Amino acid sequence: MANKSRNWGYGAFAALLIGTMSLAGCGDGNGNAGSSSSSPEVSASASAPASASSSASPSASAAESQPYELKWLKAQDISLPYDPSKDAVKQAIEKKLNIKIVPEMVDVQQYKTKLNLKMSSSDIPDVARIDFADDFQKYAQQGAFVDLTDLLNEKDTPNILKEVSPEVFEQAKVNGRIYGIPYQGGPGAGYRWNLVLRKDYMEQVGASAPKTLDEYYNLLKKIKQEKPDVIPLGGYTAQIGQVKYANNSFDNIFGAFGVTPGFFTEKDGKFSNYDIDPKMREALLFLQKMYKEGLIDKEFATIKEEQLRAKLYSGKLFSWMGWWSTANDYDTQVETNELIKGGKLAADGKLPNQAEQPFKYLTLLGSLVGPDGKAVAPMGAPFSQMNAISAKTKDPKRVLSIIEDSLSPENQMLTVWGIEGEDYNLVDGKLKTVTDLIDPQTQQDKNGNFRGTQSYLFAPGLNGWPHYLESLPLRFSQALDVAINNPYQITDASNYLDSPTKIAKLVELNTMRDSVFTQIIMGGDIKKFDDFVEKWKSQGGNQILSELEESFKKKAGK
Amino acid sequence: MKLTRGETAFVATNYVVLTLVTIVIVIPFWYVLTVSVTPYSTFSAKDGLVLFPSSFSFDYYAYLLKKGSLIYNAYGVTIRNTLGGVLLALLLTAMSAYALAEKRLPGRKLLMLVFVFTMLFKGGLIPTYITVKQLGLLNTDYVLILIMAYSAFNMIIMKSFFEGIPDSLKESAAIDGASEMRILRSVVLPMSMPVLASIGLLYMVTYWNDFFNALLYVTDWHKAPVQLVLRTIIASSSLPPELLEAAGRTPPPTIGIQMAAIVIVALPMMVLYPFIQKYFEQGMLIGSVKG
Amino acid sequence: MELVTARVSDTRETPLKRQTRRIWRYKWLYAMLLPALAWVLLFDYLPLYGISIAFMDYNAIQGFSGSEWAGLKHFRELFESEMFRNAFKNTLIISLYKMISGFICPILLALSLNEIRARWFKKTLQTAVYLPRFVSWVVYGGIIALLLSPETGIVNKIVELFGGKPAYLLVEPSYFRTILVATDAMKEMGWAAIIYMAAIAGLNPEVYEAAVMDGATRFRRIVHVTLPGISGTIIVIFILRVGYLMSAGLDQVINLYNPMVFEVGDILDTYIYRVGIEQFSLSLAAAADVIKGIIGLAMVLAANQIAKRINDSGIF
Repeated sequence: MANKSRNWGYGAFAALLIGTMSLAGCGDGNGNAGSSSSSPEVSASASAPASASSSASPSASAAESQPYELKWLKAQDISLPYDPSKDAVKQAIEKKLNIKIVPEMVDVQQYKTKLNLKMSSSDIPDVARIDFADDFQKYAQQGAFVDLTDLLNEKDTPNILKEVSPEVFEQAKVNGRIYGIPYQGGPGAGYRWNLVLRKDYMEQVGASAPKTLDEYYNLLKKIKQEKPDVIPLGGYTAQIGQVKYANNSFDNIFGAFGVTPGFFTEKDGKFSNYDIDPKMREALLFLQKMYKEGLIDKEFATIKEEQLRAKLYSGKLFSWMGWWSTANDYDTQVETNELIKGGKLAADGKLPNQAEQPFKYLTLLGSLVGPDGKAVAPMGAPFSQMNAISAKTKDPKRVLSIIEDSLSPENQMLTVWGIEGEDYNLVDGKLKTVTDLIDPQTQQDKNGNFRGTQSYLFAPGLNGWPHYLESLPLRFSQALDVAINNPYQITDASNYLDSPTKIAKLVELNTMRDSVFTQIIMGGDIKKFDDFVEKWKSQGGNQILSELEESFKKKAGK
Repeated sequence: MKLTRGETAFVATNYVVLTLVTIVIVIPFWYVLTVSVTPYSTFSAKDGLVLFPSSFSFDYYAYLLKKGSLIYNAYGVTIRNTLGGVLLALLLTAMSAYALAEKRLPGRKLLMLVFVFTMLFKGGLIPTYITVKQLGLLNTDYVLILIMAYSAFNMIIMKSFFEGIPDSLKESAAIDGASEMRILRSVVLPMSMPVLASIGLLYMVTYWNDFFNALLYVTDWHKAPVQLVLRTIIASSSLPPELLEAAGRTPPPTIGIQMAAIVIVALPMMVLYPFIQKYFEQGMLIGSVKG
Repeated sequence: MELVTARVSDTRETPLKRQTRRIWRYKWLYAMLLPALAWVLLFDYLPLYGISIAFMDYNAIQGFSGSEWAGLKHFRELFESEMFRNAFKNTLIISLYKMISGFICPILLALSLNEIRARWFKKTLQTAVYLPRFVSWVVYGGIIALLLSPETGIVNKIVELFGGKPAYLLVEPSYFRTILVATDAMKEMGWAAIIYMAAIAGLNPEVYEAAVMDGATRFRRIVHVTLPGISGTIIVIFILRVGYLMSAGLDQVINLYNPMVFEVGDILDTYIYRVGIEQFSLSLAAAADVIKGIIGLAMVLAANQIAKRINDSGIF
């Protein structure tokens, strides 16, 4: 009796399992029943008509009269107060473009996770902004976005084509079709890092700004000698597996050897990668030497950017690779700390905004050149992101025309800078943002409105948004200038080519590379590099290279 | 009761070792507290090595608790979720543990397998998300209460406690005409205060500390619990500036803010705990726990 | 008792009817089970269909209808991946260490705390060891890194005091697993100890008194009364822990590891995280999850059988 019931029991259990698994076969696990239930906790703004556009209007002209509802995933700084329903700029945009924006706010850090989640449950925002390099290609291949190839032409979309040339669109194609509109924003494409040095320390050891790797190296040695408490070159790391900006910590050293980690190269149709280049080996040996001589921060492999900053502020750091927009902040902090140390400022004192002042403590440099007088600096692609229209949106043509509309010069000014006379002014044709419009604590203007500039826009800004450079205060434009005009910038040769293995394997290869390179720099046997090269090739590298060559030939053959 | 020499040594060693262990365990938390009130200039000047605050600054707390900050609302949400959640969880867990503690229950083995299986085999993040979505629970007021309301692990622990209660007690109540629910309520539960308190505490911490489920299932920031809000605020400081440019952000908060955030979230739990502790003291069980 | 006699004398009942009557007898218990069962069916079993993703080339946008069957392709891929195998090995090793330490430390802690007479002291310590539970690994990891820092970390300063040479512990492969296990114990043992303390609190005081009268010292009382008393709890928790052998602590490892210790520190969960979330290879991640689940289940069943043989008690 007991045996029988046990068998019966297990049988029932197995049936239960099989039953649930086959649910998968019966229905589409991604049923769209709840598609309209996701974001609209924020009610419509006062100016736009309150009708929700759940009715799909058949003809274009009839639809024109109803504001089109756009579900928008917006990256936002949660620590600052914000209420979309009280956003004056948003309201102006909605009125001008005849749309109703339904934003879902996500913190910057969670943006990618939330987007992936939504994509996986078929809850794609009507227009999404996505990193091109891998995410976009993955989703495009899975059919997430509207195919725009035949919809973009001089007649219907002149503004779009003015912003993004057909050549660039060529590069943005996935499997020969166009699935989105390239986007860069801000200052536009280009290198954005500076080599930063403490000006005062440099002068104290009687040196001037180095131009070559050798000069730099000798400078570091001098600093180490005369200021033993100061770290000559600092670095930091990112989480393993994440996009490793920390490679940039030693950009300049690698660059002087003519290599930059992770980039693919192309010469006469043949592809390779700097990671397996013999010059990389030399660069690693040099870095190893520097580490041994104490010229590189011992902790570079475990500390985060934040801790690097702490060392910088307290004066324990001499040089590092800095993102252009941070230079103002850092200089101000260093100055603040020096004043506190000298007793001229209270322990928790703060300085007013120094952005219009020339730099006091920092010197910004471009690339260091190697013995051959050349260098490389890793530039981002001409566009790093894409604005893509969801394949499930109600009226793709209408959305495209909305985007087209938003790119008129007048609308670009609106979406990027806000309302003339309130958010900015044109003085002698030069743009000046109004800096005292909002209260820093409440983020609202005197009418209690928020100002969502640069928040709801499509402006690609491939060469920078209109008037962008003028709008920058002195320090920012200087820092940007040094970086963006670096003559040695290069792009990754694989940027717009198709390679499924690259999408599948690159994270693994990069993880391996980070691990091996870091070990070598910290004193590991250089033979590890040779082993790594073999592994890189056999665990997917060679496959990627041949796929890139194929894709290159196809695109060139057009 | 006189203590022998050996016993005195034992007791003394016990005290000393325990104190040391406790200090080691507590140091990181003490560090958090200290940094949360140290001005940043002092912090960086000492390379982050601050053990005793030399100068005080409540700047970080002011920053986090400023007027109109999401934190106040989030706190309310968390409290509500935790209270409701723990009650629901204890209800579900106690009832199922009690039922499964009955050895003569037909199909008991099968039922146990059903529960244990789920502990090890999960459908995965995305399918769970889709299921929740299709149940219409996304972004509702009670999704967070529901989603953490049961843990087979906890049920098994409770069950093994219940199994230790002598059948005679239960049967005498049954003879007096009590229903199973009544037996549970009036006989078993009062004797199980320690396990109820400890499992209750486990659930409470789960609800209170939850961040990931909130991240997935809540989109309206007015429904966000405090852990999500705080983690979001401080997580940005571990992002390098190049990634922050996307949001046109102001300089990220410093480590002091991270620490202040932790204190703000952990404080209620720390204050509550001593009050719950007394339930652990009750040893009214007659007969030992099943060994 | 009369119920039983009544049944025995009724010979006209078929086995089915007897079964049904038995089930009906316990109807209230089933009713009490229902809510929990419903919860488990909804939130644990429904999503199980996701496991089938492991056997397909899953297309997230098109859902199941747009995805092709892939059989065991992903499983093969995993076993061929050196990184997967390495992660597997590390998971087992680290989990084993953690199981042992997680077994011993909380019990010792609970026993020691139980011996403290001064109530305020006991309460303070209890609260204190429970604190680290509230700190997430994001922060705890950062603090550990600070404490272990090569130049400014306290640990190294203490080592120097005793005349030793300071070392960069966090990047030494030979120390990494120890650091993982030790810091995990520090963080978690307070929590586990609570369960044991509850168990101890439930012990019958009379047995203690009897032992004292027999002249047992404190130590012997602990060994012969307390430990056997909570052995049931210990076994249950142990078996459950065994089931989690395949999860060695995602949160912790992600926040503590670095390129230097990658080979000894990468575990299954960090592998799955990279592959699934970073790389968005959902099918591959699902396959790894399935492997984890199968092994975990097998281990729990095995441990349960062993426990029943030794002690005549298990989970089921």
